[in-house]
Amino acid sequence: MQFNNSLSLFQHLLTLGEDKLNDNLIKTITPSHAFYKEVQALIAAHYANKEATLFKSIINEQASNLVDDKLIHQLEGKQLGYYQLSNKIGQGGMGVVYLAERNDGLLEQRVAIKFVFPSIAALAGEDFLRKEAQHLANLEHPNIARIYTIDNYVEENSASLSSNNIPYMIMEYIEGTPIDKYCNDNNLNLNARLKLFQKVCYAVNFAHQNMILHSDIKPSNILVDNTGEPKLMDFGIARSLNQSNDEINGEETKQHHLNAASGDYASPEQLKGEKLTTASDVYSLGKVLQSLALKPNKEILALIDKALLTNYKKRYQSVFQLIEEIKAYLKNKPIKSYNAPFYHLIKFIQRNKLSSSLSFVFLLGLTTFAFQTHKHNQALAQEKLVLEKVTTFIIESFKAVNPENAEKENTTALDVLNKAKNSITTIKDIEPEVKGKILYSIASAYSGAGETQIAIDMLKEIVSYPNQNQTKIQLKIASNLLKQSHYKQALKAVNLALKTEPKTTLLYGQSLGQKGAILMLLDQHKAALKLLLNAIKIISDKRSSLDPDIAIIHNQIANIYNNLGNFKKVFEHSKLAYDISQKIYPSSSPKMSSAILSMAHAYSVIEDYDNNAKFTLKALNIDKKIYGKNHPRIIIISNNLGNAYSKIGKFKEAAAIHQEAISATIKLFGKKHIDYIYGNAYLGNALSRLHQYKKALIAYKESYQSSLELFGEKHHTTLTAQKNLGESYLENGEVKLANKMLIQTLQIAKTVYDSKHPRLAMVKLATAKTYNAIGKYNKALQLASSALSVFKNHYKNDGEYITDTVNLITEIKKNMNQNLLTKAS
Amino acid sequence: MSDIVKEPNESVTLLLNNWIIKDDKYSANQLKSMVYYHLKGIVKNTIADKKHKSSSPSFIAQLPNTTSLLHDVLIQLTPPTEIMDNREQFYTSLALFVRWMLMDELKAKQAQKRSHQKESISQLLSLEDRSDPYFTFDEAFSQLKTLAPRCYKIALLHYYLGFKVSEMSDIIELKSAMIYNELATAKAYIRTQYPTFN
Repeated sequence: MQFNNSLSLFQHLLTLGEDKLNDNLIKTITPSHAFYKEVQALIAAHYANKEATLFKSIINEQASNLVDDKLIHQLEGKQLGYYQLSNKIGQGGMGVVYLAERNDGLLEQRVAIKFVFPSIAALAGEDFLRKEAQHLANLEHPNIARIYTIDNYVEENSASLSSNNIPYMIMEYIEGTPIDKYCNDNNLNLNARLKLFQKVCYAVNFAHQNMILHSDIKPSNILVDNTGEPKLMDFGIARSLNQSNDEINGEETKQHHLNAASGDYASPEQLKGEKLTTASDVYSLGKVLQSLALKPNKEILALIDKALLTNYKKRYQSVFQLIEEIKAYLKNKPIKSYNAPFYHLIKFIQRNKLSSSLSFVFLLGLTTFAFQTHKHNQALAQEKLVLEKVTTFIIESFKAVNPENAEKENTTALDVLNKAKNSITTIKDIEPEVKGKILYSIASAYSGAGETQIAIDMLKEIVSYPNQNQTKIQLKIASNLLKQSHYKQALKAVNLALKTEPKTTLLYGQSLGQKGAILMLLDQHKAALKLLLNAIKIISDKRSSLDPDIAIIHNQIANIYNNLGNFKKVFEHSKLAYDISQKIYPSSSPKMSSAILSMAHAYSVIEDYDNNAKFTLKALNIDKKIYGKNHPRIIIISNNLGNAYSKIGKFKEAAAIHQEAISATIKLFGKKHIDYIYGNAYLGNALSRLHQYKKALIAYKESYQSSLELFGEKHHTTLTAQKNLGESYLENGEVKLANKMLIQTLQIAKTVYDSKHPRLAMVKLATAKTYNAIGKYNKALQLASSALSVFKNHYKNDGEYITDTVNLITEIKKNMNQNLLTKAS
Repeated sequence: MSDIVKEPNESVTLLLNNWIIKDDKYSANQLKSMVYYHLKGIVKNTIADKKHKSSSPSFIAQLPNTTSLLHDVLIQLTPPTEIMDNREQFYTSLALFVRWMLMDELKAKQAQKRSHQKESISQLLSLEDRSDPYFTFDEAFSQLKTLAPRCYKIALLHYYLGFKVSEMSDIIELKSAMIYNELATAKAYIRTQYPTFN
């Protein structure tokens, strides 16, 4: 085996068994080999990686460089206005809280100062804290910690590139005990606990009336001060104000995230990141009550249960309802429910308008590309201008697909592409090289979306731009022409590709493969075979033997042998391709479905039609899931499946499938298309077996006409179609016409196929049938015998063709005897 | 308090534009923060996965639930079937974008550090501080791209978009066992690039 570098050798060793890497290395190369030491190092690294890799923490470390969150952990001793920061008293997902003391000598005052992580501030919007403070300023309530002011802290001498303004909030400092601890410490009974809890509920209800959700209610956010009053704090911002200091001294900024919820107390909808309502605060209050209520009775349990329902619509819809229930319980009387206002206050970032998803990624791809170009083309003049133009272009394109700007409601990928294409042509002053590359990515996207003609037109334009990869452009043109069945033009393009590429590159190998495929379609089989074998050699030299390209080429070779009539080779190469595919593709992927399909075809050429139908159906089912019903691929596979059904006698099913495929073909491609030819030929076969000869004749005529226009008369597809048509005339009783047509077919076929080709034999068989029908038995016998000798070299003795031919010969001989008897009498 | 984590006012592309052309710090910060939380999310998921395997439920319970912004965007990004062929290309672009952003930030920070320490002439002369472990990591990626393109692509999707082997198997259409091998090879190669390893 040949290996390009130590990595490919190492990878090969991995496939042989992970635990025997060193053993297998020695078996593969000698210690003096150039790769030996490198592979040894890779093996050692691999075993070390199995223990642990630090790569993610390296990325993580680097990621924290993107934001300035660390800054707010280093503020002890700093002066903010009148206040000097002393120690940190809490930290959470949203920020860090410091204790601060007023030191201007005028007043003695302790406050809590909360700093929001700059990353959170960046995401939430520049002035979000100011807006929040505006809300909180309205919250004057004895059971809610006061907010004094908010401001931005400006870090001096910061090494940071970004904005150094860190928003902070000065709040009332509560010296107190978390409510659950307070209740236990003071051994409060249930009613006392409920009364305390009721005060908390009133505070939350008050906030709700002011359109503010708390969204992080939990015992540690409810401090009971030395007068016994509960104080609700930390509206929405910090995860926990009063976490122990031990946690802070551990790993700093270990786990920041945007969801402020505390797992134990957050509602299900909050944990899922869904929209929050007042009912979410109700849930958290229910959890708090659950933790406070020792030995709850049935009524309290029912109350808690209702607050904790998973479906928020079934909970108490307002805290007010909860308060009324507690009040009723404390007063020992039942009370009605109320319909309270319903608020929708918090929107989460993941529900934003970026859902215009596809266009977003497409444009992100282009943007990345533009940045890369910018980075790698330092020599380009006016870089900034180029980038500006490119970015403007991207933004213009994006505007079209932004649901808020777009006229259409559902913007498709094609809409984005069209807008992108139009925008790029209007940009002036952009470097032609960059413009060419952008056009290439748009053209590729068109090609992927099946818009072959637009892609070709664009690619032809790009050819004239400087510094473009001409080989890639020509190959892409060729593959699009191929999709359009324009084989000769495709051949021209691929020849251009080969001309520009050095003869040892992978791209050259791939171009050879492409040319081979085109020549095969043009019936130049031997030339194609030679190219494809050469392509396999180049590609396997550059890559490993388990390569997808190799599998594809084996399939193409199988195809060529199919056309050359060597069916054993067809099965052999198809099996090779299938075996590679099974090892490398996931079981329900498009590529695996292609492999299954080729195998299905291989079964058909060795006349194993049950397996043929089985494999085809398997592929069709995979592909329908991936591509939907109206896709060129589905047409092809449907036709194959119909054909397979015909072979095992399911003619009705077959005819229905072909008819559907034919209408889809007309819609997508019109009548001059290979799928139209095959669809009609197969339909004709099925109808003929259903004895609907007239309908069959129409189908065969369509097939022949389309093939004649597309390929000309000297092409195996046209010849097969013509043979079918001739046989169909015979079935319709037009024996003379049938004979005439088949004689003509046979004449052309003799110039196309060599004498031992089974396709020639098939034409001979059909012609023999017509000679038999018009009573020219000698000619019939001669042709049938000639066909039989060829079939015997290719097919099983009990196979369709041999049986058919033997039956014909028996009939001819019978007719000859009958004829002799008639003459004799 | 409401609207803490509200939707950004502008589209990502608009943010890009403001950052690059207008040099707008606010847009830059917003975008960087998105990437930051995205990468944090990847790391957290990995930890959660590992802990899950060693079955330590108490630890998982303590982990905050992840809000990985780019990942959430990604989930909505399942391309329609007609562009199945381009799916791999899209994700690779996105991963490259994240990688590019990290590297750019590192270089920018180092450049700024240098201008802050003008007294050190030797440092001023050196173009880049290559001792940062992330440099080695990024450089290894660049090497991989030429040495083993498929390893490169898979490592890119794994480390910068947080895709697991099974997810990549779906996107790249290769069997999981092969993805595993490619990723293992990439990891082994990256490790050999650290001088302390050998």
